[in-house]
Amino acid sequence: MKGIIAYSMYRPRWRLRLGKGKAERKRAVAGPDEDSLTMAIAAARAAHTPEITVPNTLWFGTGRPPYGEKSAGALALAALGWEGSRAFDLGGSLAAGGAALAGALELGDALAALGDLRFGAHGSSDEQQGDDGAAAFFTGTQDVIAELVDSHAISDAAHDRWRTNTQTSASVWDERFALAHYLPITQEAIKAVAGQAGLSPDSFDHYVFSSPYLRLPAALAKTLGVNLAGSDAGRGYAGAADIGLKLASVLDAASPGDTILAVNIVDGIQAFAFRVTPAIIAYRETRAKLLIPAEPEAEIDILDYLTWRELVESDQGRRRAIAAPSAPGAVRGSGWKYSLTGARCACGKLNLPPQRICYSCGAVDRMTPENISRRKATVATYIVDHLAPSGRGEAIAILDFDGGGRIQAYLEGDMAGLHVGSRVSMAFRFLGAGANGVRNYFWKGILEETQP
Amino acid sequence: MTAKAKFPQAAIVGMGCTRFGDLWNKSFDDLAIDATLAALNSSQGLSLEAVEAFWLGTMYSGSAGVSLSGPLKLDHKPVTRVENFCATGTDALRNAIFAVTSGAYDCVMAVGAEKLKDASQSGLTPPRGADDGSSPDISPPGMFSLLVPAYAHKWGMDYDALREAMTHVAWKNHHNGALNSRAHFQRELSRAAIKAGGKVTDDLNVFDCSGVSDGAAAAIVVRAEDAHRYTDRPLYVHGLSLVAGPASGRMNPDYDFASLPEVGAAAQNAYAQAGITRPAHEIAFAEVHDCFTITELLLVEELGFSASGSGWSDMVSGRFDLSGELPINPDGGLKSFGHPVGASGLRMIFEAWLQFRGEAEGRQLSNLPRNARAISQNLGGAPGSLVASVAVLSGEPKN
Repeated sequence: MKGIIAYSMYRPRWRLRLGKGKAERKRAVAGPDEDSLTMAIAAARAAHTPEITVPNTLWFGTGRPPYGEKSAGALALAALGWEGSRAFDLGGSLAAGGAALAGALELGDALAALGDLRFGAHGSSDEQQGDDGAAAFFTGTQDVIAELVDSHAISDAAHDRWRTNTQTSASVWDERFALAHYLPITQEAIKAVAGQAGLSPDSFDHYVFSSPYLRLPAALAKTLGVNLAGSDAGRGYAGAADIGLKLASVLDAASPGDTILAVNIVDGIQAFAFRVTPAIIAYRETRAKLLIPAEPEAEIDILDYLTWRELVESDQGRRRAIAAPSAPGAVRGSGWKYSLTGARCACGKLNLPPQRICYSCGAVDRMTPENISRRKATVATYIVDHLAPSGRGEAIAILDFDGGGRIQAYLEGDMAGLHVGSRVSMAFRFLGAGANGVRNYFWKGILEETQP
Repeated sequence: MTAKAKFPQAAIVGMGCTRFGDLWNKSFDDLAIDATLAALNSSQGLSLEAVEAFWLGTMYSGSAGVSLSGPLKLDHKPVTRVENFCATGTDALRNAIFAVTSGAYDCVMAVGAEKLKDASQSGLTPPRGADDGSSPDISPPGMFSLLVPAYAHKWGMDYDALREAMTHVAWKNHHNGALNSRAHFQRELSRAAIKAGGKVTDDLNVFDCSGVSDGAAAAIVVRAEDAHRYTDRPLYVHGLSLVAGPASGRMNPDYDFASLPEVGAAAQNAYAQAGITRPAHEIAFAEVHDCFTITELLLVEELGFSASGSGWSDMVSGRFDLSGELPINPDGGLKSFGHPVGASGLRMIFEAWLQFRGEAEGRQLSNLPRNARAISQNLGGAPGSLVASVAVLSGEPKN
């Protein structure tokens, strides 16, 4: 049996209210310190229970890769501390998320990490109907929680929507053309995958239809005579991550024995049929224990959103510039910078970042690496710095880790409750890009909602 | 850490200090020349030719010895550029003292100069080499603002009481600076105005911060026994300690961010060198590194003027006011005199030079005997990672 052995999703905390009256919705927005990579890593960390062994392959799927040329998957591996694994990047197409999931399921022993941001010119449908987010699926043959019964793929060259490398907004040929084009081939794919699963197209327990055309899922459900209602009502389209977010939502609600039809309808069709196993119950319980607490939702206004996406020009005042990290420096300290691996001295003190000479006992080169990315910490003192190069008031704290060690780090979360003694967990975030375009990633402390 | 109680005795026989401020019409060269000439003129009969070696303290404005030898047109003399964060000026003096007391030279000079206002950005940019980008890019006010929640938490204070004490520091130093014709900001500020300042961090506003200024100061240094060959009123250095801490406060959970242990260590050394055992009673006045108001509250504790946890209440009581029992920053401090980084350490010492000579304008301390002792305390870096210095100064040689 092969299939999904672990999964989770990540929805950023920021919400933007769009539309009026019945059309009003709140879309999820990635913060200025997030991108497709950091969100995919957050989803992968939330899915990765101690029982899950490190997979051989990471498939990263996004429509908005953080870099051209440079692999984001390799950065994800470094952040996850998976030095022995390999990364396959599927970037630049909305089909990349479904493709990453297909690759991970078919090859097995893999992680499909999907992350995407949806934006375009102000007022565009991608802004209005989009959502930002990520999902992650570990695949394998042991302790499968959702068996892959069958899958079916059709590639399609229709240029119903496109965006060049220099364009901010996608263009759509004509949504009516897209609906007319995709409906029959989707039905064909569904028939194929259902038949091989020994089911009829209308007899699945759950349906997941992902499409950049929000009318398409409803039209499909109508032709099949099935109900699409579920937890995703009101959610927008999350690009390459959309199929993952929707599938993860269904898995959260599914019972052992349930069948799921998941279809990604973009640049062709990628259809999956799953059967949920009893192992999902135990997995969800284990995952709930390690889950990094979700940050409280917070609303932003349209100007925040446009500023964060760099769709309006903001006054930089007389601030100092953002410093780009040095490539050799990052390589030398990669265990620290990417996976938050410190060094424990033989005397017992944790040295963060790793030191050669222990800050406490002075012993030389008697250090053992120790990863602290899953450890919680307590705020010893803090500031909110209004002179930060980012132009935002940046909270920075001295963090004392459970089990020893201290760092100075940026904070994220609801600052209203920030105090000496606040508790945080760590997340891999984007700190800003230098003038040379190098993106600086490092770990931030995420404030827990509940006070100690 | 062991205190080294021996310090070679030296004296300052000439000092000069420019006005500090937004000196749009003065270049770095102008400032260095002005301070150097003022120091030479303060001591009768001394020419530039008589000065055998130079130490130039500057952090942002120059590099290497030619930054001073060029403007002064020195004729192939030894010039060393010194940089040690905001303690640069004091370290330039320290090295100059060692040069004469070692016997290598008889008469040398320390010049501290900084030209900050030719850069258009606000505040200072802490020097940062290319690195892995893992440590936050924190502004200097941010570094010291970390002290505020930690101090309040350690002593169980409410923020209003701490705010009041910080406001008193700013009020006092502006009051003193208004009596100083060289100060950057020569006006008093009301407590209400201080509290209403625009926020720089959530806990520090613009009036909690020292001024970013242009300026320069210079001192001519000789061995103590030679001092009276140059002037009838020299300033003697009884002790001077500079320490660089292990910079582990940001990795060691034992550091509380409510103390500045590097300053305590430097004070212990300098007091031992000068034979001071009861600083609160033996020091007549002090110039301290009030880069931010919260810093001064912690400094009075580290220097032994106040018990731990009572610096803030002693401050509010007026004990450190110009008319108080132990005036602190009679010249206005960094807060009001301004902070041209490389010059600040020498500017602090310049106040002792003036006070012991009776030349301190409207802020002259009355009944200050020449054998009284003052200190100047200079620091640089960030809490948890400081360099700190303390100098003990007097109008009479150490007996």
